[in-house]
Amino acid sequence: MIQTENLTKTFQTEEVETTALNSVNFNVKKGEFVAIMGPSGCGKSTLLNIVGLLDSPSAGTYLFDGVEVSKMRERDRTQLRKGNIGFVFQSFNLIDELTVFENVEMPLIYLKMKASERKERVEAILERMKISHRRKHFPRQLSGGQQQRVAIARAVAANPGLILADEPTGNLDSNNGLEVMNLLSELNNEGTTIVMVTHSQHDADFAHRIINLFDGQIITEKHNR
Amino acid sequence: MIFKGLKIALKSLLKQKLTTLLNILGLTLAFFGFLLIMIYLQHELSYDKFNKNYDRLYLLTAKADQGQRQATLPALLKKEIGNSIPEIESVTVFHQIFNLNNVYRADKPNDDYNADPVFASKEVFSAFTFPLIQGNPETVLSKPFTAVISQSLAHKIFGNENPVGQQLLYKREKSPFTITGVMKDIPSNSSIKTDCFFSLATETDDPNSGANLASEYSYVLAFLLKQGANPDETAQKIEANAGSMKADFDAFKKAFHTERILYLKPFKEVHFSSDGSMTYLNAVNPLFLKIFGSVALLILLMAFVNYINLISVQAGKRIHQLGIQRALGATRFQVQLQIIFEAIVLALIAFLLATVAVELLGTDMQDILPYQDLSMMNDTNLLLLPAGLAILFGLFAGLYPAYLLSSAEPTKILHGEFQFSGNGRFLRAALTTLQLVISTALIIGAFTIHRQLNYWKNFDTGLSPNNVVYLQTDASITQHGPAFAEELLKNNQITNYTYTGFVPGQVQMSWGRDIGDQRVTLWAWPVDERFLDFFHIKIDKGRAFSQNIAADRNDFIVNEKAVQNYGWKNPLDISFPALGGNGHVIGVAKNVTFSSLREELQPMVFWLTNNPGWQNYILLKIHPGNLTQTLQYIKDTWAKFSSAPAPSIQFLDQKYEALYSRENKLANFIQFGTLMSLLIALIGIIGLVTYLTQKRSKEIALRKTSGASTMQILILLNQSFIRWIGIAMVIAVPLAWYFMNQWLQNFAYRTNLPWWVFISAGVIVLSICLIVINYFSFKAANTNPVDSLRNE
Repeated sequence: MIQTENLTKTFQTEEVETTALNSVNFNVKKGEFVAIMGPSGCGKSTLLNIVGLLDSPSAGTYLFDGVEVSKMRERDRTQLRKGNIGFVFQSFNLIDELTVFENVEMPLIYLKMKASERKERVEAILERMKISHRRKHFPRQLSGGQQQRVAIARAVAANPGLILADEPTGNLDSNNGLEVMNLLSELNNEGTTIVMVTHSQHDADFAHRIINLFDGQIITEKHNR
Repeated sequence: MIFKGLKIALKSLLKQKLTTLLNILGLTLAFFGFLLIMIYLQHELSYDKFNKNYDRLYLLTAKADQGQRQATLPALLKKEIGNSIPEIESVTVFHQIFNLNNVYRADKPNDDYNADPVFASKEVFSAFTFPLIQGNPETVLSKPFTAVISQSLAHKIFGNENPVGQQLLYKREKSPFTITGVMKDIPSNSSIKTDCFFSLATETDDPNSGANLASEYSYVLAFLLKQGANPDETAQKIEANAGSMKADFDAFKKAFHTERILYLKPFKEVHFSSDGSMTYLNAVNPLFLKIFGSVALLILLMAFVNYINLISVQAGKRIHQLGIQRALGATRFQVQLQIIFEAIVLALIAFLLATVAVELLGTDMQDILPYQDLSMMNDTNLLLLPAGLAILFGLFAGLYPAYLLSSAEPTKILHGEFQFSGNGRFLRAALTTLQLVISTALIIGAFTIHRQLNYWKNFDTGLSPNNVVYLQTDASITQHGPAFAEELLKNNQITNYTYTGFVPGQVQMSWGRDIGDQRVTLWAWPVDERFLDFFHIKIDKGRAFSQNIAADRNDFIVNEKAVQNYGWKNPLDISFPALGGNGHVIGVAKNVTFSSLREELQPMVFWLTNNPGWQNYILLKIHPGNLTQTLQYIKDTWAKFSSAPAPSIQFLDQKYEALYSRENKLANFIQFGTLMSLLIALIGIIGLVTYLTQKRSKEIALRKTSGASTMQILILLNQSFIRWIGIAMVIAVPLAWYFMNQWLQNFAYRTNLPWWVFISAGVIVLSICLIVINYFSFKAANTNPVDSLRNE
């Protein structure tokens, strides 16, 4: 599903050039659960952003589902991302002014789904995430765990083939964190490909494969199961 | 302590550069507009107050037909009442000679000087405060053919020579006037404005002059009453003691169905009379002053609104800093004082910048505000009062932000638990909508005034000004009138001519006549026999003037309005005196609009005369091509008939436009006000857009992550503004319709207000706002979501 070759990303300021990724060859099969680990500043989030089509590489190639996307314009990346990739962030990143229902509904609006269909889909997902009783609440009225469940609901609302999770349990206690990881595993068992950035070995153990990054390069790769 | 407070205030202001810049810009613009208008209003409201007898000076006015008033009456009235009324201390008579604005040095008649001369009786220097530098105020104007000129005119004409004893002419062929005095320049805020007084004794000593005729309603009579005199009672006594004029007044009272004819108008009202009678004395329509004052306040209100909006949107950022200050020991009052102090400092900075702008640009604003000396240095009150106003502005503008920013508990702020309630959002929306209401209403106002001016411009008065030029004649020209005209016609670019006493739009002579048992008032227009044909004026009854001038000399053609007004069944049987003998009505002309379109059409008579004294102008119809050569030919032909330099050749269409210079200036002013208000509103919107895009940057990133395109983000950001603009239109349209309708009711000939005027205003506001909003939103909408989302 994901295939990168010599993927490189450099960031330039007026005085300094930083190489965040240095000729990374990174492949993920459909249905795989891959964890990316490494110290702060090693390029994990940069890799995730490029894989998620939020950013484009400075050099190298990236095939997403067989489509070469490394040179795509932002407009086209957005089109491709819609409905195909879901995101789960460490800080939940829910929109404060929207209710739980509206937050989860958002990706479906941009897919131009009919209102009745959207309602049905969102209700089902909220039910599954055991958060439907809070559908009219605002994010600030929820606990951390509940907010992350809403974020996951939003990520899967459009039934994407790929979910990218950036430290999904980083702001949660152990119980809530476990709950989130169980949810992600469930989704993976149902066929969703998951790429997760984490500092937690415990969370990484849920993955099929663990990749270690250091200074923008893949250092090690380990199969878990 | 103040210095420390000022230091903190300036640091805070510099920390929020964009907000501070936008606020200063908006406030400076607002103060600039406000100051200009205040200077102008102050000038208008100070009219005539420099006269030490201000409270005892009155203008005699007469009730005219249809409830109108006029301030021009016969000079004879002064003689008739004599000293019979003890309440009267003195009577000053003025006679302004229209269309004659220049004077000439008797020994050098080729050079003319603009002086707007006025004939005045000798009481002028004791009744009015026009200080003399040279000459005795009691005697300077007591004799005929004497003159008093202003200091600046004296310098212009005579340089360093002593002007007293020198001689001036007001027409080259007339007798010279000896200068007997020099006065200080009359201030600009005087209803009586001139650089040269000629003695009225010149007219009153001439038994043939209009000054001795009961029918000559061309003089202004100013009464100085004694302390404690009742003006109403005095006016009634004037009527009762009018001598030979009493019968005239009685006849008018009967004709107009009124008990009284004469009124004494206090001088404090003279400059603000809106009944048209005071246009002679440079009166201003008080409605205009109210409009100017309202716009000034509106602009200030908009800046006030902007300040509150821009400060409150920054509240989120500042609250953390102020929370720390409170945690470290500052009281709530101290924090409030700091915020208010910042507001005052900002207002004073803006005021200073605005003052500099007024001084630099004031003289360029004459097309907008009809006052030449727009400067704050004329009067220290003009500096102190607005400065005080700036401080007050800062104080009030700072109150709400002070309350808002000091309201949170420090512990909540420091733990990130404080959130502003949703009420701030509503207030911001309401204030922005208010600004948009003002801008939309002003645009509608500007459109309306423009439509009205266009309506007048394109109105078919029946006296088409197209391709008509005119010039003032002199004695040499009128002596050889037909020959001069025939010589002009030899140029095939000049196709027709006519001699006339007045230029269309400025018929200044009014006659009161007894016809049958009626007392009638008619505007009288002295013309030659070619006039009606020149303007293609149609005859409804009877005939036009005959080419055989001797047969028709002194005869009249009245207009339809006169016949209608006075109910004449057989107008062709009417005869009445002209000036120098009786004349007969030989025809009734279709109505033409001979005066300003502000007023209703009046009864009028064309009076055929070949008296050179009434051939003040020659009008020429010309082909528009080869204009330069044609004008040069006219000047060259003039030179063959007169040794005096040719006067400037004027265009009749420009003359018509000049009739509406007040409304043109109002139009310019409203456009200025509209521009100011739009700019201020846009500054506010820029501040809001910047704030909202920053506040919603995360949301924008998330929506983009979820698949939103740039266009969809832009639509989202535009939505609330479009809502506000829609609400603003709903409020502005009926308000503007009401006020514009009221304004239009002031005019006899007025345009209408079609629906598209209002829609266009809304579309303009919407378009400008959308351009600004999207310009500042585009960057945010296009930002890579990665940059906004928080990562490791």
